[in-house]
Amino acid sequence: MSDLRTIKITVLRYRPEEEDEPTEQTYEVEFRDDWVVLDALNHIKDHIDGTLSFRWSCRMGVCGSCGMMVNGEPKLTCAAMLRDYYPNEMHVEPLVNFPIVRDLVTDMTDFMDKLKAVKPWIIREEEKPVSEGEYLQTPDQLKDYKQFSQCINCMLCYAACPVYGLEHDFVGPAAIALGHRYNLDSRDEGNQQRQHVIASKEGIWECTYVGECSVVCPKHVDPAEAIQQTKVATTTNRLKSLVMPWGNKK
Amino acid sequence: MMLDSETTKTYTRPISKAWWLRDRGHFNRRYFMFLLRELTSVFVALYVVIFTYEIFLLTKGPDAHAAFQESLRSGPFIVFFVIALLFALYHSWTWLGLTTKMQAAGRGLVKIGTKTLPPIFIALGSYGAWIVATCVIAYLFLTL
Amino acid sequence: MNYKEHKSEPFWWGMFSQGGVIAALLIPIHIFLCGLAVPLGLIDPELLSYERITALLQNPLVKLYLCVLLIFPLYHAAHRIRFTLAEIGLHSLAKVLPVLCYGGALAGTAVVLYILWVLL
Ligand code: SF4
Ligand code: FES
Repeated sequence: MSDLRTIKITVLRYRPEEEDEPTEQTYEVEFRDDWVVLDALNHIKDHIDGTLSFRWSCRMGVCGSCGMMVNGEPKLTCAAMLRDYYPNEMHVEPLVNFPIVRDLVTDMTDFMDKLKAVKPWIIREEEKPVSEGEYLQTPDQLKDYKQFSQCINCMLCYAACPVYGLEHDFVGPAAIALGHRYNLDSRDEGNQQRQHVIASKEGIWECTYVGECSVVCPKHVDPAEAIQQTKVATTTNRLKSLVMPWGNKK
Repeated sequence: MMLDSETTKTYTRPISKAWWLRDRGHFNRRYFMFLLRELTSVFVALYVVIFTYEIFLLTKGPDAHAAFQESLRSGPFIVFFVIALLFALYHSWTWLGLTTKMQAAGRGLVKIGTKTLPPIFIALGSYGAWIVATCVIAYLFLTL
Repeated sequence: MNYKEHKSEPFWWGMFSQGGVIAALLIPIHIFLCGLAVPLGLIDPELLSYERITALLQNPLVKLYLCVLLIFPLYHAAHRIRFTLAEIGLHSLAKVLPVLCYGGALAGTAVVLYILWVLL
């Protein structure tokens, strides 16, 4: 059992009914060696200041709801150890690039809309009846998209993306990666239904490969790579259809 | 939580104009390196313009050509070319790095049968191509 | 949001990538040879003499090579400059920048072709 240490945590607060702009509030938290940032926030809420609002659920890096800016970087607060920041002071803010609803809680409506737009589910030209069984897939075919299917919708990648920060119409890393995930799925036939979203002006062409989305992604989804692969594929298909207009598009 | 953004009062923090230097008091080295990476293209373009001008001068006769070659020996030009070379090398490094990563991740791009080529070979491939191209150009320039 | 597949971006992006490859593979050695090695006297200045270069330019393969070397990187740079300017503060000009940047690259292409195949 290790000793308790005290760390200073400055939290960005926003109480819309009282103030028009966020303010900062500093708390001193005694923490144990195995505490994560989320533990400190829960400690504050339970013992110091019950008015602090933030989201969390699983406490194990699965639900994707505890993302915040920790010292300027988007992090899952349930996976960021306090001891890695000690003895420096810490700054905890809500994810940037999203509107703040209250304290550390942001409005994710924009992301949800974009997610829906890329139709992240298996699309068949014709559904086969349930009685004919499931759509089969080999382990090799699974490998093609597995990495892109690991997304937990935590939106850290959107907070990391300056392109999204500047242009909120940008479909963005996770949504494109998830569309790509279904495009790569051997059971899916919905490529054409996603292309007008993914290959739109607001889609892949907005991306300049800053690459920060892939750095901050806690699940190693590598959305930047998904976008890059889609750019290459779209460009080659376009070239093919110019050279051979009669060739049937996939 | 989904909100009705019309009726809920929210606060959106603007992104700093100099986000690649500092945003909300924090410096992110990767943003800065990204900007340097994009900046390499300016030096590439400047070099291309200078080179085109050099070729253009050939149409103005030997004296014009010789005079410009002489001015290339001046300090400012040398400094510029040193900087341009460093940026050009940084472009090669980052560009080939991304190509390598892309091919390693791309499905079916580098597959022999069902086996995927280990990334190290792909890296050898793209950086190797750089070495080969550089040597060939140097050789042709010196011997043609 | 009403999304529409964009028809011309793949073309510009394709040119950008081609230019990126060419710039990555060929530009450093050119800068080193013509911009540093000869002016600094590391190698024989005669390598860039008027007689030698004009003789080399008689060869259509050399001309073709120079076309590739000088044209594609223009599109590479145009593309990056277009986006970078928007990213460092000119976001309000996002509609004009492509016209200016790709327009510049197109003009550059015409100049290079004119010099290499008409003037020379
Ligand atoms: S891609 Fe990664 S960072 Fe982005 S939402 Fe999914 S899990 Fe989070
Ligand atoms: S609380 Fe679920 S991911 Fe952190």
